[in-house]
Amino acid sequence: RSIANWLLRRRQLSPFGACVNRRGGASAALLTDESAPDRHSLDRHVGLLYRPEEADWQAVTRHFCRPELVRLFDTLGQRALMVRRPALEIGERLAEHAGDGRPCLRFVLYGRRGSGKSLQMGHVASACRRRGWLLVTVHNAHLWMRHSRELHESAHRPGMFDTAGYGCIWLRHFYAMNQEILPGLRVTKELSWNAKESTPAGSSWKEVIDYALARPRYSCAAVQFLIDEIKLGSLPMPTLVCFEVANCLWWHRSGIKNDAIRRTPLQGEEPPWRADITAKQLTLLDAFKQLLDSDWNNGAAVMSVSPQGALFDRLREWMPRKLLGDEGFAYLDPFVPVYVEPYGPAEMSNMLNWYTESGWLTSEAAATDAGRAELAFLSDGNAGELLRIAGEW
Amino acid sequence: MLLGAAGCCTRGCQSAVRQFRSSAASAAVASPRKAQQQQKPPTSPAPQQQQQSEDPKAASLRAVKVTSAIRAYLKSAENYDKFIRMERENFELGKRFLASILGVSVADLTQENIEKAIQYLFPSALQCDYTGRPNHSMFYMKQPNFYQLLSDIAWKVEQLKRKEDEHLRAGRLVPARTNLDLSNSHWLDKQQIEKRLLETVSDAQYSQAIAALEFLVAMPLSAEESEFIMQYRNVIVGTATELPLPELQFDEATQRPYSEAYGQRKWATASCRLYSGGIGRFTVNGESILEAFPLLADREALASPLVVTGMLGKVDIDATVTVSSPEQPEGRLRVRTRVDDVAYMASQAGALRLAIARAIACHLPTKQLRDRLRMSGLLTPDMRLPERFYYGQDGPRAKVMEQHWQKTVVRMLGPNVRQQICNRLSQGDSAQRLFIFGCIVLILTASTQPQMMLHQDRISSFSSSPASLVNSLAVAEQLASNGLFYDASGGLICFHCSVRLQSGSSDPLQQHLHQRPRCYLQKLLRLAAGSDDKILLADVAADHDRFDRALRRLHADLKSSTSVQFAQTFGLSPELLQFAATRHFMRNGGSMPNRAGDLIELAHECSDQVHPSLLQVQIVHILAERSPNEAVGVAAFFN
Repeated sequence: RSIANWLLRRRQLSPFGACVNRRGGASAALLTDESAPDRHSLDRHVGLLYRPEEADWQAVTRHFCRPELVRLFDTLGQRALMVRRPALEIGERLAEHAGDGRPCLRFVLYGRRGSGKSLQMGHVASACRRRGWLLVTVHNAHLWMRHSRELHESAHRPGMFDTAGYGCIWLRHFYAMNQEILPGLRVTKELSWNAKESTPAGSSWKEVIDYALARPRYSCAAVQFLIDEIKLGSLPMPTLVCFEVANCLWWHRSGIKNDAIRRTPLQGEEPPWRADITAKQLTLLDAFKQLLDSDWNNGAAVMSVSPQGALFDRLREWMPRKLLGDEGFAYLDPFVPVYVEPYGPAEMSNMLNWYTESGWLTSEAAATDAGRAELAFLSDGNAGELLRIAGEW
Repeated sequence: MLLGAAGCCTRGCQSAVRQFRSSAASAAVASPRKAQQQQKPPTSPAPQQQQQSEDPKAASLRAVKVTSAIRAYLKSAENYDKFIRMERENFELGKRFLASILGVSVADLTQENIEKAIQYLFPSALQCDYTGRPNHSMFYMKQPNFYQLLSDIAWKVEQLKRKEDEHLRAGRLVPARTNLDLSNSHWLDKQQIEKRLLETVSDAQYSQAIAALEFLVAMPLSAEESEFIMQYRNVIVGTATELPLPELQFDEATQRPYSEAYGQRKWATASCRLYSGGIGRFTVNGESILEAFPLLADREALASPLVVTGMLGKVDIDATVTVSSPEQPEGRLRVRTRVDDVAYMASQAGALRLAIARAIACHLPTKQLRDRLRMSGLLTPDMRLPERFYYGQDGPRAKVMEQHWQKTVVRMLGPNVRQQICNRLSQGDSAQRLFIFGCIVLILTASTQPQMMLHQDRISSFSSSPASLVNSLAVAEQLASNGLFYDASGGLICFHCSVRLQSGSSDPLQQHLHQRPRCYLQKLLRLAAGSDDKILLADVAADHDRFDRALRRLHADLKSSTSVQFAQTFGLSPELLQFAATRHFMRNGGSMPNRAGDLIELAHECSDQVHPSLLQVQIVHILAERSPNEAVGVAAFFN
């Protein structure tokens, strides 16, 4: 009799086939077996958790996670990500309207800080990777403007500045992400680095990247060259551009000064003023900005705008119009705005269940109904905030 | 008869009791007849009788033989006598004391009375019954009352278990513990437990007892033992009187019940409209709660009334919060960057918390829940207000390290003037503040008698003055803090404008004003002293633009001057060079020395004349004080 009682008290089969606790409190998290992001669908998987495949995770998804989240997954020894509506909606549009030489589609993910914009972008990117798209992803461009790394005047674009270190880092990242595709790609025209050296037409992209990695001075030129190739539309597969914190492209201030490259003025030359180097003057950022334009085909661009990279007078803003400013908004217009909303009750409950199940939420209070309501209130449905608070509970 | 209640628990008292009883016992046998019998020590009754019966010769012979034993005996007998005498004295004294306590004469105090009084005064000391066995069954555990408590708890737990079993055996549902409401009470702390048990208890034992009590509370039928449990809990008595709480209203369109309330804390006021039967929607000024209150602690404060009443996620709240700027003098702390937006957040959260608590009270179904809200202090408004800002301090109570200009003023003019200037800065307008800082820089760098700039130096200059001029240290100090010193040629001289006061004047300060009305030192001192002379104030106001332009330029020049930077490569300190450059600026109509060589020469001149402690002052810091807005730059560019 006691066992029956215990069962009655603890468990009851829910209509979804998962265990739901009749007295409230934590129960088993709802996970889906479908680990391939491109096979998730809006009508069956929204709000469920999935375990990303190791290859996907290593190649793509982990780059879109905050370091806290990566550390959490390492600590728990398991990974689970939530399938949410924005990523699936973008995926649907891409499947219908992108690729096959059609014009570039542009999506702007927006939402409050910590609501999960990057992870949604990661979901889209890993789905596209499985479909064989070329991935061009930039994760921390706003940090490129924070500290200068090997800043020097650009040879291939006079009046602008190269950040050779960041160029190399990005090329390596790009190569690692598209390892399977890149060896098959050939450049269509000759690229002359300087008066003596050039890369002939028909050589592979890998050679271009290797050349630039061997001579960091040309890394930004190489990036520009590859992006030109993409925009030419000669690739056999579509391209997905993911750019996080896209609003940084229109900042009028930065953390780097032109000190590093100031020199003694020549005879009759006006001495340069000490000033910020803006995004417009950095060749690397300008190259990616060209990819966000709509004047190319066979691809799509997914951006996010975030107060994380906002100037100090816009720290509390999160709408694209405010974050992008007049100039940025005019540049990106028209785009598809995609709102990443806070967790709904079902999503929140599922997330709390998973945190409890995986041992991240350990306190007894967090397993009760009251505790879960308090966690939902305190985090206000915000994924990042929930992660932080759950660590403290 | 407080003695018995208060003093019966300590060990010292027990020993006192023992003494009292022993002396009482000795007194009880102290009737003369018995005393003679028992006075002899029981150990050696024989030798005295033998001494009396034998002849003296033999006795003397024997006495020689046993003299050491006898001596020992006599000594012990003597000690015993002394002991008994003292005990008897103590007894008589105690008896008289007892008689005075009881309010009877000593003669009326019988042995029976004494026994009764002891029993009354020291009940706990009588731990043994008449057979000598301890009354308490746990006497030998050293802390009988503590172990008795643990044992009681264990017994009660067993009883509750048995009752629960009876319920189960009869097939009834075990009632949940509904009657035992512990929300308005908490466990006794260690001192209170000790006082209750009349025993000292270690920390570990205390937590053991509390754990046992909590285990008892957690039993399903613990409400039946509520009387026992509440003995070990402190009931919180709410001090708040019954407040008029808002009444329930109904939305006209939807007939949805709601209530409205307001709250305040410090300078923040909040009002909220709370709908029952909601889904947990919460907006503050139209924003989500996370945006409005980015700090977790603030959100926790807001959650507290809802958590206490169990209404979290069951009500919808629309709130408005505003912070009114308090009446404060203009000062450094008023200027805030946007990064400091969180500065007034806690008070806003506090105001809103009070509003929510008031609004939710009328939605609560039971009085018990309302009581819980009040007991937890959530309905009590916090009427305190922040103290005003004082110039030159970090906070109203927090003193900061003296700033550069304050050190300078103390060294130049003495501590009194500094205090006056601080007061003036707190009360005066921006023109006066600018004037004060401008004058400090001017007097510091452009004085005509820089060797007499130190307050101390001027005081010591009066040591050679005639007594008719300065007859006490107080007078010397006053003159010195007004910038005057005594010159060997006989006369008072102002260190700033070098005016020599005509001798024979009764009031040197008036004389100075009369002779040199445009001396900036005089103007500064009069302004600091709180003078409301209209001409002076008009002067100050008229000087505003000129001062502002000059100081602005000086500030910019000092920071960007190439000659100052270049001269530093010669090993001169930047403070000294700034001093010299400012002196040049002040004395040459606002121009900086344009050659480093001039500046170095000037610097050497200054270091010869001016006291080194004044040369360490950073003029740029004083200049930064003049208008607080400029001192605060862009605080953070990236987050």
